[in-house]
Amino acid sequence: MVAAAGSSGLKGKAGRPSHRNGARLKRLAGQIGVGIAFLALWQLVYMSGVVKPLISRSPGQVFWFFVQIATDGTLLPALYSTVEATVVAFVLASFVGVVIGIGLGLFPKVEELLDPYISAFNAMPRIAFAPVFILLFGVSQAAKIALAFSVVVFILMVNARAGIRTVDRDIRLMVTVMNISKRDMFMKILLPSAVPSIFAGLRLGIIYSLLGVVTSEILASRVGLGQLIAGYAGTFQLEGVYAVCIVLAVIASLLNAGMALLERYLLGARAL
Amino acid sequence: MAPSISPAAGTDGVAARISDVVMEFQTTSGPVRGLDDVSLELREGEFLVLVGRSGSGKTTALNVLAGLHTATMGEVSVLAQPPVAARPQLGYMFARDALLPWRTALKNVEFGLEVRGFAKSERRALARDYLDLVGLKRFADNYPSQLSQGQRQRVALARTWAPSPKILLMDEPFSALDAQTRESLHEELVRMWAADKKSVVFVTHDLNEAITLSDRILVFKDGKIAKEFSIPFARPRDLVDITADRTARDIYHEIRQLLYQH
Ligand SMILES: Nc1ncnc2c1ncn2[C@@H]1O[C@H](COP(=O)(O)OP(=O)(O)O)[C@@H](O)[C@H]1O
Ligand SMILES: [Mg+2]
Repeated sequence: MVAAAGSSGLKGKAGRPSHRNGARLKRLAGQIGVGIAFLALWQLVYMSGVVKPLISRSPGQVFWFFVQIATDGTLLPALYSTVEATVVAFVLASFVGVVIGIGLGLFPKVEELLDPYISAFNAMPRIAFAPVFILLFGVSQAAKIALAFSVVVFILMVNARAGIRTVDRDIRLMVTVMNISKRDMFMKILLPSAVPSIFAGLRLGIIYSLLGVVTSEILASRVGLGQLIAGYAGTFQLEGVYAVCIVLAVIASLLNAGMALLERYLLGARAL
Repeated sequence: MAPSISPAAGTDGVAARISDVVMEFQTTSGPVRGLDDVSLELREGEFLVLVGRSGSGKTTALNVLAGLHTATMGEVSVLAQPPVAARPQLGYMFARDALLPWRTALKNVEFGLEVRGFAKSERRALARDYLDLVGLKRFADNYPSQLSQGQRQRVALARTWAPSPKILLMDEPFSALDAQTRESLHEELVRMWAADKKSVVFVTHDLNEAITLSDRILVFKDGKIAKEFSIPFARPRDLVDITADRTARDIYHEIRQLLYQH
């Protein structure tokens, strides 16, 4: 049994499962209803002709295009390439970002020196680096990973640093009175305090990783969902652009849900 | 067993002492004196209660004893040492519970033992005993967010007691509890205090609580000690008997007068 998403009032003795499943089914039915309504609206707009024919496509056209690229071997390699780059960039950037963020959180003096540069670098539109990464790494997975990394690493750095800094004041006093050792302070207080903030960063990070990879692919790549989008747009196959966009939306949702599951698994009943 | 705590040499029967202490805070509206020339002694084995209106300096006095504030003027010693050095033999329970949200009730109680270097097997057993003592055996595996305010306060109490500190500082520890729970915890506290010869400084705004528990009451006012009362009643004491007692009523009313007049 998967716990309901609205876990804010989690109290150990939640309602009976049958009751909760009923509520879940109702909600699911509602959500499907909204989806159908959206498709109907889309179809209506298409038929009314208010949108330029150049970019206007019906749900049916997009669906059949999707079926075609899914079965003719176009979609899967692109999907694999994009997801692989996303995951690699995310894992690398998360690790590096968390380590640096914790370091900055622990050593405010060092952070003071670096902060203006970190902020400035983080404020630069990273897409501007994409051509540099492509020149550096060639048209390759590495170029995509580099761009995504440069975005995600900052998200994790900022969140990990904030997490280390925001230890509850009373908890700080309590452990001070216990003459807590530096090591225990780090392992038993600072790190666990930072976990919620780090997870918030991870949830954002995975989505931004996908964004970075697709951006890089649109600019230049041999294979990938972004490359498909660029190709279809260049040949006015808008049904292809839409089909790939929908695939991206589904991937993003799945990644998000995966992170939520991982978080629930790791944090368990620790309500925050 | 707890790490052995031998009475520090040269304490003269005094567990802690504050001498002529001024504690001044710099605030946005200028300097504020939390303590304004305060002297007090906590005798070994004594149950000392501090009462006073809010802002009168009670918490500041505890913080100075715990070494959280360094006195602007005057001397502070705990077990004949500077406060920071005496911390291993000190238990401080705040008005707010300061539980770790990522640990269960049991693991929160274990925390104080872990940090003080108790062996793993020993601390699990001790933590269970103390959770049991505060009536939370069934809630050992609950996280703080799954406990009521009163239950959380009791976990904090068990955490403070478990390492068996020589000196206990307690800042309005029972104010969030219902009367029944509070009375049963009074009993436990007094029993522990009597059995282990602990020295206790206990802050409350409940005068009945103060009179039931204390050997001595210090009335704080505007950062000064306005008056001291000895509470002579034999123990064990019963809240109902005490409130009916004539001398106790007189003391109660005198403190009330002191607190209300300006
Ligand atoms: N950390 C602090 N910074 C500034 N002022 C403080 C601080 N702690 C206490 N004070 C001031 O000292 C006075 C006594 O406070 P406190 O000891 O907390 O009172 P009580 O516990 O009796 O309610 C108050 O005027 C309060 O504002
Ligand atoms: Mg106070």
